[in-house]
Amino acid sequence: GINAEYGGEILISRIYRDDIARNAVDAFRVNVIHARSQIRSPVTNIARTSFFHLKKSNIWITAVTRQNVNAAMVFEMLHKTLALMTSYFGKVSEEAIKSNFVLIYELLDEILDFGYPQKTDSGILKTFITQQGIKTTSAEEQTKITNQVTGQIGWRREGIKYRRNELFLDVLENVNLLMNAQGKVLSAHVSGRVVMRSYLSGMPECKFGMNDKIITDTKDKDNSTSDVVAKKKNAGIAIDDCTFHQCVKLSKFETERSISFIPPDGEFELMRYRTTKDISFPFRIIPLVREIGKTKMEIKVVLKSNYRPALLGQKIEVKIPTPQTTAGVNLFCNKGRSKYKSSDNAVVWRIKRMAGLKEAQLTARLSYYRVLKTENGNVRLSP
Amino acid sequence: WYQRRVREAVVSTQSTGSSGINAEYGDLIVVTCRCACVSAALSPHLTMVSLGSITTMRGKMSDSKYFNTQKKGEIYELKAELNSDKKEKKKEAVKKVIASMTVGKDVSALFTDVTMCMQTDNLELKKLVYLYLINYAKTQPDLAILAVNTFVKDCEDPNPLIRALAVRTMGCIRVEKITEYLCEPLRKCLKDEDPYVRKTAAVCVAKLHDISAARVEDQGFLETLGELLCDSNPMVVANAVAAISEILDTNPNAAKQVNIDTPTVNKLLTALNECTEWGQIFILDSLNNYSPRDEKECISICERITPRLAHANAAVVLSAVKVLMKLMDQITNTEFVQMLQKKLAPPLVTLLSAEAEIQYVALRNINLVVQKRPDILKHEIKAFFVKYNDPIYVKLEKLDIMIRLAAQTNIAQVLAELKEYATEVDVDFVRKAVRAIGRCAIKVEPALRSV
Repeated sequence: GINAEYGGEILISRIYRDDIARNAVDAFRVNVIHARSQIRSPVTNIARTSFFHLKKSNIWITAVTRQNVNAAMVFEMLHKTLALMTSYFGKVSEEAIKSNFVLIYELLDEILDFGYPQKTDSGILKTFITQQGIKTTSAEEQTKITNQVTGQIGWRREGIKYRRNELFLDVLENVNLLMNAQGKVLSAHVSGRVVMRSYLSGMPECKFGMNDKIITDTKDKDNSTSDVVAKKKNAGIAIDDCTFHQCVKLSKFETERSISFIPPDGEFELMRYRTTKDISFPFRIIPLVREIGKTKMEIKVVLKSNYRPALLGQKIEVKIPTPQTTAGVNLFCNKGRSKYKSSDNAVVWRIKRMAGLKEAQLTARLSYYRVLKTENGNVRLSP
Repeated sequence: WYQRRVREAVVSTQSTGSSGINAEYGDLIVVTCRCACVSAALSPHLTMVSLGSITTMRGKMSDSKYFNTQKKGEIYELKAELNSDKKEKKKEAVKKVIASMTVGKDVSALFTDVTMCMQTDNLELKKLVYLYLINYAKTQPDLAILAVNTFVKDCEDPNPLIRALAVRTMGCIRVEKITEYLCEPLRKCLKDEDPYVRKTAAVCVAKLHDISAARVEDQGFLETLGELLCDSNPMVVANAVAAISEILDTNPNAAKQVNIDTPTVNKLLTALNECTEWGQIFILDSLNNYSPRDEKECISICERITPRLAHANAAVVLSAVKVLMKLMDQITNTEFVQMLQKKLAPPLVTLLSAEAEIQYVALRNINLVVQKRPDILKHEIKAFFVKYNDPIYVKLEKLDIMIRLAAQTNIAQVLAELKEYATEVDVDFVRKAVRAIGRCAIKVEPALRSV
């Protein structure tokens, strides 16, 4: 079964098999949602029943089963369900779930059958499950819908037309760096995403090439050719691994190393890649931590931007975690603004803009309580 | 004090009966909500009433208005509305019934009235009525029989969406008498011209088998299901595979009538290319139960599966890894095995950039992979270094894998990391890190000196 709950109250649920009763959720509520301790695992086992849960702000989405299921599939399914709901009505909140309960019931009926995931693609589902209720369709349209739902090209419906055929590509990269206290780089990798926004007519076959240049050829069914050639400076990066959207023909990639696909309409993530070689770090952070006595600490953080002076780094945020027993914080920085956020247990330093090869510094003086244990084992805070 | 305020709020909504509350109570809404959860144990009735009052105060024109409080006699009101002539009123009434069902109220008394609404061309209304039926059919089996006629009729409806809906719903109603009537329509739908109906029928066989395995065997559904494995539509094939795998799981005897053998495996591997991501998972998981005849076949299957390692869906990747690990055992060609091992490492590491829950499942699996074939990830220990903002369950698993991968070549790095972890906040984690230092010392002799 799948449940969506808010603060322990079931907002909406659907049971697919006989072996779970609605009150199974009570066990989950007591043991997980209202438990005193922190969550130790996204999978909980209570009395031979497994609960897989996802928490999004204050909504819990739980999948419950008594059988030995494919755990990865369950979590991917929960994430896709969440993405589907967001695609239909925006932010998933108690209010939104209650306002759209009819729609959600329909979706839950369609995407899962007896617990087996079926079609979860929002593009196709939106053609016959809508928030305004089902539109009465002709026999021809009905067969078209069923063919698309079960078809090979399950992510794009037929008959899309645009006056101007356009294609946008965004490459978004995340640099991840792990450094030890002495400044030595322990591990680093870049995880990149290629996000494509396609506004093309018909069912165009696209090809995507990598390594030195990226050339995108789009061939239209109507032959209104729009030859888009986008060159990207890529002095031959060695890519460790990449994963593709389900529209990419994986067998072709394996044999010819070519990425060919029929894109979904609109925005989608074409591929994700990871590389660990030749990474240039945009920032260098030098932290200095000094303990003064037993209750005071001074933290100095120097931030150096490592890129060309002509480039501008924007919305830079540095988060410095602080001990949980922090009592007071004194901050001084020569660029940007810094604030102590007790709810996150961190000092957050924000710099709106920073040019390349510049330096910024933050000094934080913390005073914190000491946690003492008294004779009877109780804990006492002492300033 | 809080409970008293809650009672006050409830009383006032009941007396005014609608959204005539001024903004002052806006603040109280939050308090009520929180109290609702706390006081649920004391008086569940209070909980539901206060939930209802929250939505009336908001006064939004959306379906949330159906979650209104149920006053005494509302059941009678609903009964009247359900029997109304106006279609719109009926639909509104059914929505209210479903809303009450959602918050856990018992609306089984309205069974006959709701079932009367089943005969409609409005697909949305039909789906809601079917939902109600699935929920309450077991408590009112004799009345549920009334619904059978509509189901049988719907299975022959010209609209394939309705045919599939009927098959799907009938399979969910687990009343013995109804399943008798289900067999004929199911037989027809398994051979339906529309693939959407066929794929739903395939899953329905699994549902029927769950209710009554004997009936499925007697009626020859297993053979028909086997035929669906050769269907032209990949989604039908995928659902058939899923159904068969589950049936064989619970009832190994059924293997006499339907099984996954060599020619079927070939068809499945071809369908693998054309299925949705979920279908690919079903097919890959079913291959786990298949034993290839010889090494050549193993190698050919491996070659057809390796492209799946580049799929965005983590479950597809993990299922592919599982099958490959199993097949590798039967391959003696060391060159091929080494090539496969090299191919397995990057996708496993990429899984660690996924969402936290998927990372957790991947790490648990990687733990097993590392125990069986440590060579695969021997160069990737850095990927398992713990990050500050990893959730605790991810940290604990990464630590475990780190220890397994510790060897003479990387022990210095590992010990340096473990030293850092010993200063972490979570007590459980620190304990494990300290124990890990000891384990490493035992595992790698030169480490004894630096420890």
